[in-house]
Parts: sequence; C-alpha cells; structure tokens
Amino acid sequence: MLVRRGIAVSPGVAIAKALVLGTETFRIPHQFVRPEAVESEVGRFRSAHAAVCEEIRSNEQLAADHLGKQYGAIFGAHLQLLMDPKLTSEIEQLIRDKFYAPEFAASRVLRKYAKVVQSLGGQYMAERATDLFDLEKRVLRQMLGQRREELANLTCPVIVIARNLTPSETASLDRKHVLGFATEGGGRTSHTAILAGALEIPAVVGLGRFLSDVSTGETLIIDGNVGEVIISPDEATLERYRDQEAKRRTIEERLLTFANVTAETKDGVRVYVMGNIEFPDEVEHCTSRGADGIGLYRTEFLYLQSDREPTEEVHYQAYCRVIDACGGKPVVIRTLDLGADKIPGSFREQFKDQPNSALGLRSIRLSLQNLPLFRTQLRAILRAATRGDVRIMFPLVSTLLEFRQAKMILSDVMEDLQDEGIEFKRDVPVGMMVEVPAAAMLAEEFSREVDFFSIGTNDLIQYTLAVDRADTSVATLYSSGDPSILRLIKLVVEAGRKRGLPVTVCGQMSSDPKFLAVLVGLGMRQISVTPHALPELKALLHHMTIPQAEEIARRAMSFDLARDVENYLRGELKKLSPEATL
Amino acid sequence: MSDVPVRRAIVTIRLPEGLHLRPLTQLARAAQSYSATVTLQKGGQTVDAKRPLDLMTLAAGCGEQLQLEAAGDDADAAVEAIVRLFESDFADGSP
Repeated sequence: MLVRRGIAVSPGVAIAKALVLGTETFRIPHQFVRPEAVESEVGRFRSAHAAVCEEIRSNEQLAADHLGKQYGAIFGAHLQLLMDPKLTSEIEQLIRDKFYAPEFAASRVLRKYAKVVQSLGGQYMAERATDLFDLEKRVLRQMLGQRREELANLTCPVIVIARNLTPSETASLDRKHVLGFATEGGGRTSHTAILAGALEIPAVVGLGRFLSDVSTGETLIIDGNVGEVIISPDEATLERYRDQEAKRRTIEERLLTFANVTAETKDGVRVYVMGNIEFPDEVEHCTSRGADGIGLYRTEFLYLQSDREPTEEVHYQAYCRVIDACGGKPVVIRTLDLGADKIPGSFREQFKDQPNSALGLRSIRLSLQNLPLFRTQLRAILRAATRGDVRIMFPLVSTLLEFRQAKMILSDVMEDLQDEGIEFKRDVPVGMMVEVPAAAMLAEEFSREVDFFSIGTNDLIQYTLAVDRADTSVATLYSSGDPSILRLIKLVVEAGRKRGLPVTVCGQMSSDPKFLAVLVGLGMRQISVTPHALPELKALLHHMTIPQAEEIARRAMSFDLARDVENYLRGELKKLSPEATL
Repeated sequence: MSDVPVRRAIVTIRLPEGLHLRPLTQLARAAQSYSATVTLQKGGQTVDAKRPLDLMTLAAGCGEQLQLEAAGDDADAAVEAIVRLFESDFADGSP
C-alpha cells in the first residue's frame, strides 16, 4: 500500500482499477493467471518478447538505412535493454511464483526499473525512464494484440491516471466508466481540475511523479476530499473507504429529497441557494438538486478550450445553452476572470514576459485593457440575455473607476448592437464581485452604482490575509473563518441592505456547511455554491431559525482567532444537524 | 573457489555525456561475450556488467572512476577488452 498526496480538486471517493494513460494506453485485463496455466503463460510471454525483439531489430535496420547509423543505434540500445538476461527471468519468475499474468508481470518489472532510473534524477535519466516505458508499451501491445484501449472504449470502471489530460481527452471521457482522476501535473485551476469538478468525479491533481508507482490494473482509491491516492490499498483501508462511501451515498440519497423543497429557514425565511458552474452541462447538476438559479457562471473555460480567442458565436451558444437549461431562473454570468498568460491569441504574446501574479493584469483589468476581447463577450451576453433572467458580473473590481469604465463599455456595446439592428436585452442587472478588500471597505460607495454584490471569498481571503492560495507552506493562514473576513462580509451585507441590493457569497466558504449559519445570521439571503453541496445546505437551512443564526453570527464575530471561529462554528453545526459533514 | 582467476582494473569515463545508453549497451554486449562474471563498482554500488539495466542504474557521469572486476577462466581477456572500450571512448561505434 502506498499513499500519495496531491491537491484535492473534486470531492468524493472512488475505488477502481487504474488505467494509466500517457505512458501506455493499454489496459491489462487480468492481473493473475490460474496455476495450471503458468507454463503456457510463460510461453506466451516468451514469444511476445521474441516478437518485440524482432520488431525492434527491424526498426533498427529501417532507422539505420533511412536516417543514419546513429539513429539505428537508439533501437539497438533498446534491444539490448530488453534482452537483458535477468529481465526476462525476473518476469518469468513473477508469472511462476506469484501467478501474475505476463502482461502484469512485464509491466511491474519494467516499471520497477523505470522508477529506479527516475529516482537517480536528472534530465538524462528521466529520458531513460521514458525508454523503459516505451519498451513496456511495446511488450504490452504485442501481448494484447492491437487492441489499444482508448479512453472512449471503456467497458468497465477505471480510475484514470495520467501525467496530464488535455481538454479534448477529458471532454471525451466516459462518465459511466471513469470513476476518478489523478494526475501528476496540474493545480487547482488546471483544466483537469476544472473538468473533474464539472464532471463531478473525484480527482486529485499535482501529485508529482507517481506514474511509475502504478501499473494499469492495480487497485486504487482516490480520495478527492483530502487529496490522496492510495495505491494497492490493504483490506482494512478498502473496508474503511467502502463503509464511508456507503454512508455517504445513503446520506446523499436522503438529502436529494430536499431537491423539491423550497430553501427556507425553520421560521420560514426564504434563502436563495444557487449553483456555481463552469460548463453548460453543469446546469443539470444544479436543477436536479433544486437550485434557485446559477449564481456564478464562470466563463473561463471558453477561453481555455482552444488556442484561439473564442468568437462571439462560441460565447453566444454557450450562454444560450445555460440560460435555456435554467428555465427562467436567474443566471449570473461573470466576465473573464483569467490572467493575461492564459488568454489565447496575440494578446498573450504581448504580455508573455509579464509576471503572472495574483496582483497583476487579470480579470476585469485585463478586459479593460483588451477591449475587443471584452466587447465580444459583452455582445454575446447581451444577445443571449433576451432568452431569460440574465445578470452580468464583473470580477476583481478594485476601484469605482474600473466599475464605471466597465459599465461604460457595456453601454457602448449596447449602442453598437442597436445601430446594427441586433436583438439584445437592455435592462440587464450589472453587479460586481467583491474580492478585493478595497472594494469591501468602499461597499457603501459601490452600492450606489451596482445592482448587486457577490462576495468571492476565495480571492478575498487571499488578498486580505496576503496568502498565496497555491503556496502550501502558508496554507494555514488561509481561513474563511478569519475575523477579518467576517468583518468585511458584514460591511458588504450592510451596504447592500441599506439600498436593498441583493448580496451573495459565491466562494468556497458558502459551500461549507459550517459557515451557513453565520452567513445567514449576518443577513445573507442568497448563496451560490458548488452543485453537489446544494441538497445538504438546503436541508441545513430547515434546521435553523433566523434568531438562532443571528446569535451564532454575533458569537462568531466576537472571537479573535480564525481557529476559535471555526471550532465554534463546527460545534454549532453539530448542534443544528448532527449528521452534517464537517 | 580460490583458484578462480580474478582480474581488476580501474576505468575512467571520459565520454562527455557519461556512460549513456549506447556505450553501456556496448559494454554489456562485450561483457556478455565472456564466461567470467564481470562487475563494475561505483561508490558502494556493484552492478553486473552484463546487464544493461543494471549498468543504467549506476548513472555514471563523465570523469568518474569505476572499479572493474572479472572472475572466471577468461577474466584476463574480459578485463582487457573492456578496458580497451573505455580507453577508446567506445569508438568502435557498433552498438
């Protein structure tokens, strides 16, 4: 049993056989052979081995003839590696002594060497490991015939393990059979992460080198709640996870009964619980759980999925799908929230040498400096808005001037559409994300000009506590319960209340059940959360009254330390709902 | 056991890229053509010189010295041939 820790990007637990991609696309059908079949399996391995040697020899000849002797020599070296006298005996021994299937045995042994070589470090050795993976691939292809297991042709449940997945690979994933992801690369905002969240399958990314620890066919547990991958788990661990899974499923099924229940507190105060989405397909995850709309539609993926700037039509089609799927419920579309380095097209070239910093050219700042890009998106939103209840939200607004500029461009775009005789919606509410402490402090000033506020706690915490979200060494400072965050939220809620403006929280904080009471108690009557959290939060609302929530908020505001706030809220959550997930 | 001939020599890697894939397969092939056991030692690690996979794990770089040892009837010839390989910087080219 081996445990690897990475970054948890999509919650849940999956237990299945590994399908290792990238270094091989073969799936080993059986790990073991029957004892009486051992000799014939050894024979199968030997003839496969001989065939691969022959194949390499002819490659060597071809390369030498066409490219020159030194290229042929590369294959000659591969041949030597494969003919290593002890290599074959080691593989055969695994078949004979442990009844490993020859495919599994060959994979294990070659990977063992690849791992040793990799552990020596350095670019050269990394490439040698690649050579060994290539040999493994050849041997497996020989034994499994040409039956390459494409991701699209899965027949049984697997957990996909890869260095990284491209958007097209992830897009073609079969949700019925792919139970989880784990990748070596990637961070919280990588494509894999975004997709895993959208597909609602457990995923862990940023594990670092671990492909050589796993062979296709080995059993894996992916714990997307804590960010762990357990390779070849022991029986006790498996048992524990299976139990946990069964319990979670029961609770989930019971919570789903809340899908059709109106989200309100025990004393009948309506709290709108909406969903955060990234892709049009996710609307269904929200509506099936009884969401009161889409409180945050992130549009970044439109920019990430191809190497070209998305056209107005690409935007428009995506927005129409979301709006139509929502059936008249509100959809809050957030304009581009990315750094300059992520934007396809010529603009990226222009800024490629700029530091890519959380304090740099990104989000609304970027949109305001790249007006053609911004206008394209706004045009599409305004056109699509005729189909439903659409609201526009600008991210990362720091000053009133920025908000005014953005609104001015919006009016300008409306004028263009009108001149061109294109149908669009004029009275679209325009709001802003409150993620910069400066904006929270000036909430009252902003409240005179915006139609709504949505508090993005993820960035608000990062900027308020000056803690880089991606830096694990300072992760302990990052807390939604920090008294400074509660105070900033209170400022915004109060500014909104004075003018009767809707205020929402759409960061991760609002998806965390322990913060629900404090948010409601502070006066929040809307939250927007990750889709899978919807049923639990709706159920929890029914367990609290407004006076209770207000008392919890008052107490929570009285602590000096984030730790004390969180401990207190955890305790209160237990009292409100003993079965809530902590 | 004491009458098994043993020969030792020190060899130095002068290849700028170290003992990379091509030379180490040459080396393994040369060692395999003798009946004597042939080992190379670097630091505390001893590997079977007939096994390219083992040789790879030495990760021997340029300028490093290795202890060569052959034990068996043709130990003399084996060491001589391998020393020659190192001295010629693996020049014969046939991998």
